[in-house]
Amino acid sequence: MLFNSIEFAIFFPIIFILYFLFFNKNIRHRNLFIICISYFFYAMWDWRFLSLIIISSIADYLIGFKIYDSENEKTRRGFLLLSVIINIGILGFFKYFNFFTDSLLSLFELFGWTYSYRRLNIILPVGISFYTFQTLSYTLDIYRKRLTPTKDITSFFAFVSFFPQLVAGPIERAKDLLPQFHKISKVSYNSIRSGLILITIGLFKKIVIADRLAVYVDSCYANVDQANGIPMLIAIIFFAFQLYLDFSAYSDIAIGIARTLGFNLSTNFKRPYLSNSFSDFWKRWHISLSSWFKDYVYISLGGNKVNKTKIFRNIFIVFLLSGLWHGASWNFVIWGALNGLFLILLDNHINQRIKSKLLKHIFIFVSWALSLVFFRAQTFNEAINVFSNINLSNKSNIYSMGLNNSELHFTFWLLLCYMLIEYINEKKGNLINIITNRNIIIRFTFYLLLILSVILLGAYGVGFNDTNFIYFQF
Amino acid sequence: MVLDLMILILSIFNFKQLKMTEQTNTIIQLIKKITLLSIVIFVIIIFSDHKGYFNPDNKNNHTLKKWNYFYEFNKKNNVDLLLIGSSHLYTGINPKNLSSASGLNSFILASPGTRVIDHFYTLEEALKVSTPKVIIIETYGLRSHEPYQLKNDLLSNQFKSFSARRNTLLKLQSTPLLFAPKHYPYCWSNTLRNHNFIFTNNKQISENIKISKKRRKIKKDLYLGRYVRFQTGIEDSIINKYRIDGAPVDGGKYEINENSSFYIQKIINLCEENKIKLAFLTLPMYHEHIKNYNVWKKRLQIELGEYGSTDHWLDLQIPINYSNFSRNSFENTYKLNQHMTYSGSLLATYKLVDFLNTKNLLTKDIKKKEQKWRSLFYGEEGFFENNSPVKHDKRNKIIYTSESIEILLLKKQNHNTILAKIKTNDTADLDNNKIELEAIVTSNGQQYKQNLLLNYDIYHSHKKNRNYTLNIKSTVTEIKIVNVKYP
Repeated sequence: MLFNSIEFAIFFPIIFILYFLFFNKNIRHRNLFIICISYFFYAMWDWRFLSLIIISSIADYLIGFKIYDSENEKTRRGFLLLSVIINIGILGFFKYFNFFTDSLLSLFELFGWTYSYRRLNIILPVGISFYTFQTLSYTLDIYRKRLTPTKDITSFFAFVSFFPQLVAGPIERAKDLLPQFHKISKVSYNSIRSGLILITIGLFKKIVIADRLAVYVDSCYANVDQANGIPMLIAIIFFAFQLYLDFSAYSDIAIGIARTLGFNLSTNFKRPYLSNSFSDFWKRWHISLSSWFKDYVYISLGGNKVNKTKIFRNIFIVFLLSGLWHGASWNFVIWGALNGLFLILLDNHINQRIKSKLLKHIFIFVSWALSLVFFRAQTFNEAINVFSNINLSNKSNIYSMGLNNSELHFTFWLLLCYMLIEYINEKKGNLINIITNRNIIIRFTFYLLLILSVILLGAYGVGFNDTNFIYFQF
Repeated sequence: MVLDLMILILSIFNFKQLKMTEQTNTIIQLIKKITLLSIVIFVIIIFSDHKGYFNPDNKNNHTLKKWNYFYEFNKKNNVDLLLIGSSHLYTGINPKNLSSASGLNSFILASPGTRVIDHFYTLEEALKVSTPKVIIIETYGLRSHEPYQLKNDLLSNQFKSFSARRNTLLKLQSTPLLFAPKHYPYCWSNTLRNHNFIFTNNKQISENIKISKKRRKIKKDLYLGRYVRFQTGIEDSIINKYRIDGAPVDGGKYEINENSSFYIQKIINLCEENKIKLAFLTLPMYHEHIKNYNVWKKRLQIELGEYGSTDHWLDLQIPINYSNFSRNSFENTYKLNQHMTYSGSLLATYKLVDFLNTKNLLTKDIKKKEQKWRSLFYGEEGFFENNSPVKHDKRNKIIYTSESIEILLLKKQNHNTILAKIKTNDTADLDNNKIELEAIVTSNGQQYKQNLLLNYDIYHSHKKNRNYTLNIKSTVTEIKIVNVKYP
C-alpha cells in the first residue's frame, strides 16, 4: 500500500478515527491496534514476508533480555552476535545472496575456474533494510548499556513494525521511539494539524514534482542514445532532485502520519542541497541512516579517535557499506565509494578554496548528481554510457523525452521555487509555520491551494506509470 | 495477550464507554474542519466536471450523444427494439431503416470497445428509462473482460461509455467491475482523469471553457444511435495482404472468461425476468479477414445456451457466397477490428429485419398505423422504402399502385428518385431483374413519353419488400405511368 494510493487514502482516515475513538486510551490496546494495522499495511505487499518481521521482533526481544541479564562479557557479546547473525543473516540472504554468489563466481572465472550454478529466485521483501537496522539498534544499544530492554512485548512489536516508517524509514532508534509506545501520547490539535500539513506537503513533493521529474529521467535512462547531449545532462540534474524530493516526501508523510497518531519520528532531511561541505551534506541527507552508520560502524571502528589514515579508512568503509546497504550491486558500491572519496579528498579543498556559499552548494550538488549516475543506472556499462552521452552541443531531443515544452518549463520553475523556499527556510525559519500561524482565511486558502495543486498539477493518472517511492526497493 | 485482544474487541462495541474527553473534542473539531475543506475541494471538482473544463474532445462523443438522445426520446416515446453492443453495432445497423421496416421504435446504445459487463449495465440503465419489447445484443463484445488489464484505447473507450451513463447507483455498482481500483476516481471525474491537459492540451481546456459558456441543447432531430464511419469498401491492397499474410483475426484467440460468461447469463436472466424477447446478432467481417471463426462461434454457442440456436442468434459471419455481402460492405482495413461500411450496414439491417420477421420476434406492425409513429419517422431514412407517403405530401407521392406494386416519386436534394416496391414473399433472387415503365414525364413544363428502367436495389430490400430504383433529374415534376413490366 503506497502512501500516494487510493487504498491508503481509504485506509488512513479509517484507522485514524478508530485509533482516537477506541484505542488511544489504553497502552496495550493502542499498541495491539498499531501492530495489527502495521501488519495489515505490510501484508498488502506480501503477507509471506510478515514472518521475517515477526522472527526479527521475537529474536531481538528475547536476545535483548539475555544481553541485559548477563554479566559475562563473552556471553553478552555472544548474544549480540546472535542478534547480528539473525538480522544480517535475513537481510544477507534476501538481499545479497545472489549478488555475492554471482560476484564470487565471476572472481573464480578470472582464475579460470568455472562453476555451473542455478541462480535462486529470491524476492526482496519491502523495507527489509530499514526494519532490520531498526531492530538491530535495539540489541546494540542494550549491549552498549544505553538502553534497558522493554518487558512490554506489545510495545516492542509495535516499535519494530510501526507502519509509517516500516518500509522506508526514518530508521528510528529504540531509545527515541520505544519509550513513546510506553505511554499514551496526548495529541493536541496543533500536532495533528502539523502532521496533516506534512502529509500534504509530502504528497505535493512526490506527486507534483518528483513523479514529473521521474517521467523525464526514466525516459532518458531508457533511451540513453536518444537522450545524448543536454537531455542527459538535464536527466542527471533531475534525478538528483527526484531522489531527494521522492525520499524526503516519504519521510515527510511518515513523520506526518506518526505525528497525527501522537508519535514523533526523527528528521531525515535538512535541506541537503544547501550544504557547505560534504560532511555537512551527510548531516543533512538521510540523517537516520547516516547517524546509524556513524554510531554503530564508524565509532566501532575507532571513529575520530585514531590517526588520520585510519579515520579515512573508517570513512571509506562506512561509505562502502552504505552503498551496499542501498542495493546489491557494484554500482551502489561505486556510488558509496565515490561519496566517501568526495568527503575524504574534496572537503578541505572546498573549505579552503571556494569562498562563495552558492558555489559551494553548486559544487557539492554537481558532484553528488554525477555520483548518482551509478545509483540510477542498472549496470556499470549503462552508467559509463550515460557519462559518454553528456555534452552541451546536442539539444535536439530536449522536449521529446516524456515531458513537453510546458511541462519541462513548469518543472524548472517549480524546482527553482522549491529551492528558494528551502533557502528561506534555512535563513528565516520554516515558511510553512509562518503561513499556518496566520489567520484562518490565509490558512484555509493555503491548504486549499496546496491540495488543488496536487490534484491539478500532479503527475498521476492515466498515461503516467505507477510510481513507487524510490527507497522502497531498498 | 489473548485476553487483551478480547477486551479490546469488546471495548470497540461498548460505545457507552466513549466519553467526550478533551482529545475526542479535538478530533471532532479537526474532523469538522477537514470535512469542510474536503467539501470545498469536492465542490470545485464537481463544478469543473459539470462545466466540462477537462473533457476530452467531445465533438465526436457519439456515446454521450446516444445516451442524451435516448433519455430525450423516451420522454415522449418508448424504445421498442433496443440494440446493445460495441462499435460493430452502430456502424453495422441502421436503426432508422430498421424502425421503418419493423414499424417499431428502435435505438442503438452502443459504445466503442465495450464488452459484456458494460452491455449489461447499459441494458439495466436502459430498462429504467424505457420498456423495450425486444433486445438485441451484438456478440463482438461478448468476450473476456479484464478491468485490471485495460490500457489506453480500451480504457478510454470504457471511460467514455461509463461517463455517458446517467444512473448514479448503477454507475457505482459497475465501477469495481469495469475498472481497476486505481482508475475509480478517473471514471467518475474528467477533471481528475485529464488534469494534465493543463500542460498537454490547454487548447482543449480553452475550447471547453467557451463551450461551457454556451448552453448545451439537445437538437430536436431524430437520432437513434447510428454512427456512420466508413463509406468505401476493401481495396485491392488489402485483398493482396489477405492472400499474402492471411487473415488478421484468429477466432481461436477470442475467449470468454468466467466473468464475461457470468454477465452473459445476467443479461439473459434480466431479459427473461422482464419478459423481453432477446436475440443475439453477429455482424460480419470480410470472410478473408477472419480465420477459425468456428472456434469462436462454438464458444459463443456454449455460453448462449438455448439462445445460441438460429432461432435467437442471427450470425451474419456466413460464407460470402450466401450473404450478398461484398468487398464494398467492409471497412478497408487490415486491423483486428473491421467494421461495416454504410452499404454493408444496410444489407445487415434488412437481414436483421428478415430474421426478426421469420423468427416471430417482432410484434405485428402496430405502430405503422399510429399517427405518432408516422410523424416521428415520416420522410426519415428508409421510411418510403417500407411505407407509403401521405396524400397531401407534395414532395413525395404515389404515382402508381396495384395489389403487388407501388411506385413512388421521391424528391431528394439534388435529384428525384423513382422507387418501385414489389410486395412479395417470393424468395426468388431478383438481383438481375429490372422493372420497365412506360411513362409520360413532365419536366420544365414539357411533357414527353419515356421508357424508364428501374434496377433492383439490393441495399434497400428485404423479403417482404423488393425495391427497384432509378434516379432522375430534379426538374421532373410529374410522371404518369402508362404501363409497368416487372418479373
